[in-house]
Amino acid sequence: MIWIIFQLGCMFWVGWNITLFFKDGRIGLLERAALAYALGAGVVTFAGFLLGAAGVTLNPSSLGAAYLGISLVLFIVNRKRLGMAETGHPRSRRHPVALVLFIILALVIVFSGIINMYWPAHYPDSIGSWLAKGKAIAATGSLSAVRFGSHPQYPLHVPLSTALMFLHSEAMAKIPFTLNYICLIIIFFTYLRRTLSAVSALLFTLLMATLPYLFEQSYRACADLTCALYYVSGTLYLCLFFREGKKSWLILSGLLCGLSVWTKSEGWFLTGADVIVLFVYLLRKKRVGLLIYFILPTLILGGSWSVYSSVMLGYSNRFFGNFKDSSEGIIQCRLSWWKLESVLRYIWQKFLEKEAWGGLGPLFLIVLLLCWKSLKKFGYLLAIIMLNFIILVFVFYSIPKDLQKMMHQTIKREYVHFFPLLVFYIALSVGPVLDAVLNISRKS
Amino acid sequence: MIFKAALKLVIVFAVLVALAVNLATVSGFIVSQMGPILARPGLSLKEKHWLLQGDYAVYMEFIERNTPERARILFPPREREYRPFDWLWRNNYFLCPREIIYRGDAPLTAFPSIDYVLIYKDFPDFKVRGKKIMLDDTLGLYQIEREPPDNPARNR
Repeated sequence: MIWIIFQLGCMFWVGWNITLFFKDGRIGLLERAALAYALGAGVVTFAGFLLGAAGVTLNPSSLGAAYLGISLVLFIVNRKRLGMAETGHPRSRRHPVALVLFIILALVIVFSGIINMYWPAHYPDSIGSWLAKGKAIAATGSLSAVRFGSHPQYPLHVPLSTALMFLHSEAMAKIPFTLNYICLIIIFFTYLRRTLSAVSALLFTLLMATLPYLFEQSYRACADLTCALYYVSGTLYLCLFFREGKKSWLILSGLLCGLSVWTKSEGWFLTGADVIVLFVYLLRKKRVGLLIYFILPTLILGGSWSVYSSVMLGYSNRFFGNFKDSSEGIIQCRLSWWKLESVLRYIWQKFLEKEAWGGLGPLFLIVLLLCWKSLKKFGYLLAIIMLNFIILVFVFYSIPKDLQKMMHQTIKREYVHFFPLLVFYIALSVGPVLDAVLNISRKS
Repeated sequence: MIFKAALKLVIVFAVLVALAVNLATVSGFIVSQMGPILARPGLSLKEKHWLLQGDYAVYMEFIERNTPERARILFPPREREYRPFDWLWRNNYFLCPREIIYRGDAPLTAFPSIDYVLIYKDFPDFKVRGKKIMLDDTLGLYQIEREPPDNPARNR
């Protein structure tokens, strides 16, 4: 247990120090804590990868030495800023509805945690793609142990974060998934709290946290929720950059989106959507040079593994090859309408699936239709959502064979990062209306 | 004015309905998942594996207990008739870092240093010289006996 606390403490400490770099943005204590874990887990696993790539055996002593090194460097750089963490939003009188919503949200988190921690890994995709690798890396101390799992070319964030827990015991291996779920909820809530009342922020956070398939992912031990944590948070902070124009938010967003690439290969495409929208924004503001702050972390965090896995381990990602083939086909006007139609029809069916996404699909369409002023006000966010949708269509369109089977197996997972963005759009559009109807000010 | 107010109410109502649908679905998940947990709150990790994987978990624990971590184990071909050993990643998850080699993936001559052979149903379908370690009537292991390299009897 001491090892687990030490590991999580190191991740938290490293992440906390990283958050202190973003000094021109206002980050509350709760938000900083969630960011600290999310960033720390990403950076620590990346450091584990660098150690492994350098030929160092990954064991408690080598990892402990690495943490000590990173922490010391960050401490020296940040020692003047350590006391600067803000305490968050000013305390105010709590609305009774907020209290009820908070209790429900807390119960949802607690139940998710109990289910996750009680059952050992048993879902096929979780064992095959992620935990078999994590357990093997912990047992051998070598990155080449990725061969023990399926798709050895997949990024290593989740295998390494679970490997750190497997070093202690299998019973604790799934802790990171519960923490990721909690972090996503906190970051989502604290962002909304910047513009909405506590009641509205909690209500929309609850709407996001109880998306049925997202909740299910919180105990299935797959990488989709982790990727959603990084990508959704990254997009949230990108929206904050669009609103406030502070460079800190852009760097933070780039770092988080980079970590989404370090979690799942799909992160490349998702981050690509953000890059396109950011590029248009910066072009209009005549500040295109800032794009480098966003792209650089993605290239470092995602690119290192892609290069290492293909050059050193010999595992290339077929995903990009399929994507390239489809792009060439479309450019040469060889579009398969039949395939496109079947992809769109399937995506539409799943978009409205109540068992997976509750009532969110229809709600988003209603909000899109009725809150037309939001179309312009949150145009950049909407553009990211639309690009995400196009990417989703294109990813499935790029599947060379067994289309129906592949879509059936993976489409829900590809939606995990998508629906929280829809809730975010709905919250920004409807939140002020809800506050007005309930007659609550932002401070309560 | 009335239209605007009605519109707002419609939107707020839609949000509340969506939340209610989410909560109802998630409550269903929680109830179905928490039932078995509350029925057996104090199970050990091993017992949970038995509950989830059935006999397969017992087999894996037996193999794990009777083989060293560096062992190379020959398994039957990954075919339906040898269920539950046909799922590669699950076998790896339970037995890593042991190396598992599947009969049929390559000729056996490609694997000169196999340490153990799984005994399951009619497998192995060839003669093995080794010590037999059995869990029950259906499952066991052959621990391969190796001849010392400088065996004088063999040289003669």
